[in-house]
Amino acid sequence: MGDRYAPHVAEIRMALGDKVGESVILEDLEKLVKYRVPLEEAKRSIIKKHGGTGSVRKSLSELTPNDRMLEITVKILSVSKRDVDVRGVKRRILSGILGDGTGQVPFIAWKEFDLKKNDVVGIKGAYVRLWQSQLQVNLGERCEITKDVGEIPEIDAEILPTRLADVKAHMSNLCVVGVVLEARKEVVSMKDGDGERTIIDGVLADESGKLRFTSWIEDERITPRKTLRIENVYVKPFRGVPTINISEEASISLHEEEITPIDGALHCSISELLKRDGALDVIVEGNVVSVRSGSGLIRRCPDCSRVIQNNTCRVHGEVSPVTDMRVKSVIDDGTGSIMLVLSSELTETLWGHTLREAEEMASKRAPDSVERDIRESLTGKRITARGNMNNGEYGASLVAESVSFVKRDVKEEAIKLLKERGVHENA
Amino acid sequence: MLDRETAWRIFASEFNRSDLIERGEEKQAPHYLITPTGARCNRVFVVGVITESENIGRENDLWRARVADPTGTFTIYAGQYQSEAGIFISKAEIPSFVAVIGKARTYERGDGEIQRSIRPEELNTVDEYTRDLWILDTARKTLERIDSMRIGIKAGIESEKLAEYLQSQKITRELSDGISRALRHYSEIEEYLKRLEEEVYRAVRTILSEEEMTASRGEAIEEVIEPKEYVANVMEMLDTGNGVHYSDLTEAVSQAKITPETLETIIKELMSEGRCYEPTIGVLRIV
Repeated sequence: MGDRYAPHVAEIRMALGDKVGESVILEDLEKLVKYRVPLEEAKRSIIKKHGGTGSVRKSLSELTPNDRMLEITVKILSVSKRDVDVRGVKRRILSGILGDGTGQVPFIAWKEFDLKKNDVVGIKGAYVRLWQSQLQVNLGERCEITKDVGEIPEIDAEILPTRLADVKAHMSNLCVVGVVLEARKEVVSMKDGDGERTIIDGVLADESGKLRFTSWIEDERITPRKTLRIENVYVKPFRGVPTINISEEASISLHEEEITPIDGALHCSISELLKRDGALDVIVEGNVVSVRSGSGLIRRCPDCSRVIQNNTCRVHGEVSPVTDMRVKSVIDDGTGSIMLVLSSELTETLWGHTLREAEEMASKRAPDSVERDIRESLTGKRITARGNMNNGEYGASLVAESVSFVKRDVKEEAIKLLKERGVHENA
Repeated sequence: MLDRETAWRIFASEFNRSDLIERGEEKQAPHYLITPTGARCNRVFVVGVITESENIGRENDLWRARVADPTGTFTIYAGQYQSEAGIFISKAEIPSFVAVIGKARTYERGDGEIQRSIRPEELNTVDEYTRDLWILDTARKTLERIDSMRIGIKAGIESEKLAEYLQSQKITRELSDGISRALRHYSEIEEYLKRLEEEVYRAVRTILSEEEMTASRGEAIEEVIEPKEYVANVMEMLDTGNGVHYSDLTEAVSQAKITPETLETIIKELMSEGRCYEPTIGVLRIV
C-alpha cells in the first residue's frame, strides 16, 4: 500500500523541507485518499497542515488551467496599467506578458505590484485560469513577489509575435508584426461627449493573413508599406472580424527583418477558415449545396434595412418596404461548409437577372418563382467567392465582395493531376 | 448551420464497397458510413449521369434513380418525405447530368448483404463541365485519402494510437479517425487501394478527349474497357431470359483476357452492389 504513495510522500516531504516524518505524511495521505479526496488536493492540504506553503513550482510551458499556489520565476516582457471597475470600486490593475525559457503567457495583477518591463522576478501564490480560451496567470493580492532572483540567462528577451491567422477575438497583450497595407486618418467624436479624436484605421498583413486595425494614437510610423512590430495590442471584433486595437499602452517599433505579406486575398480551405474567429479578405472555392429559403426577392425596412414581412418592421412598425434581392446559400468544398450571403448585385452576377427582371418574374409567375429559379441555377455549381468571414453564434458566414462560377480548363487540370502522380505518358 | 455535416466526395465504386457503419447510440444521432479509404461520411455530394428512374412505391411514392459516374452507379431513393426530390426524378430527362446532395443510407437485407443508397436533400440539373469538375475534385480527394491510408499502413501502429499519429502527419482529425477505423475493418486493403487508385486514374482520363487519352494511357496499358462494366455488359448480352451460366460467362470474357479469378472478384463486386444475383446455383442474372 505504502509503495503506491511513495513518490507523493517524497514530494510532500520535499515541499516541507524534511521537517515531517515519512510515516506521518503517509498516514495523513492514506486517510484523505480513503475519503476519496483527489490526490492533488490531498497533497496540497497535507503540506498546508504542516506549515508548508503548498506552492507548486512550474515552468510556464507546464501550466494548466486550474493551477493554484503557483511558484514561478519569470521575466516581465511587457506590462501596462489599467483602471477597471470591480464591483463598483475603481481599481488599478496591471496586465502584460511573462516569459521564461519555456514559453510566454499573458498575466493580470489585481494589485499594483512594482513590476517593470524586463524585471526578473520570483512569484509565489499565483493562479492560472482560462480567459477567452487562453491561459492567463493571475496575481492576487496575497501574491508574494521577490525581485532579487539574479539573472536567468535562458529567458527570451523578446515577446514572440502572434501570427495574424491565429489572432482571435478578445485576445489582449498581444504582439504582432506586419506590414501596413492601408492607413487612413479619421476624426471621430468620442462617446460620453469627450470631444473629438483622430484615429488611424487600416489593414495589417503578414505571411498568414490580413487584419484590420484601429490605432487610438497618432504615430507617424503607421503609414503604408512600413513593417511594424507592435507590442501590447488588444483585439476586439468589428462586424464579426477580429480587429487589432492600438492604444496608448502599445509600443510600436520599426521591424528590421523583411516580411512578405500575403499577396491579395488568402486562398483557404473551408475547414481552415472555420478554425478562425473571423478573417479579412479570403477566397474560398466550393459547390453550392443548398440555396436557403429567404433567398430571392425580399423586402426591407426603409429605415433600418431589416428584412421584414407583411410591411411591418419589428422596430419601426408599419412601413412602405424597399424591395431587394439576395442569395443565402451554403457552400461546401469537401472539407467543411460555410454560409455564403450574396447582395443584390452579386446575385445578379451569378443568376444573370436584374432586380427588375426578378420582380417581373414574380408578378407573372408564382411569388416564390425567383427563389426556385435561383436554386435551379446555382445548386451543385462550383463557385469562387471572395470576402470577409465572420464566425459568430449563428455559425460561420462569408459576406461576399465578389463571386463567380469556376472557369478552369478541366483537361489541362486532368493532365496536370496525372502528371503529378506520374501516370501521364508525356510526364 | 453549426456543425453541418461536410459533403464528402466519393466515387461510386468506393461508396458501394463500404460496409462499415457507425450508428450513434442516441436515437437522433447521425449515421456514418466509413469507406475503405476512411471517409467517415454522413452527407455526400455527387455529380453524375442519371440513367434510370422508376417509381417503385406501392401506396406511397418511392422514386428510385440510378446516377452513374465513371466508376459505377449510385442508387438514389426519394420517398414521401423527399417529395421535391421525387418530383425532380420523375421529370428528369434520361440521360442527363445531375448534382445530388444527400445522406448516405444503408440497408441490411435479410441475408446480411448491405445495400447503400443516397437519400437526396437537393437535386439539380447541371452541365458536363460541372460533372468534369466533380470528377477532378473527387479524384484529388480520393487520392489524398489513399495516400493517407498508406501512411497509416506504413506506420504499423496499433489502432488506438494511429489516429493521433496521423494527425501529427498533418492529416485532418476527421480523416485520421476514419482511417484508423477503416484499417481495423477492411481486409486486403493494400490490394484494394491499388485497384482504386487505378480506377481513379481511369476516371480522370475520361475528362480528356480521345487523342489526349491515348497519350495519357500509354502503350503499356492495353485494356481499354473497365473490366467490371465489360462483364456486366456481357452478362446482359448473353442473357436470353433465364440468366447466364457461369461457365459460359467465363469463356466469353476470357477473350478480353479476364481470368476466372478476376471474374469471380468482379461478380462478387457486382453482387454486393446489387447489380446482379444468382437465381439458382451456377446461374447469374443482371438486375
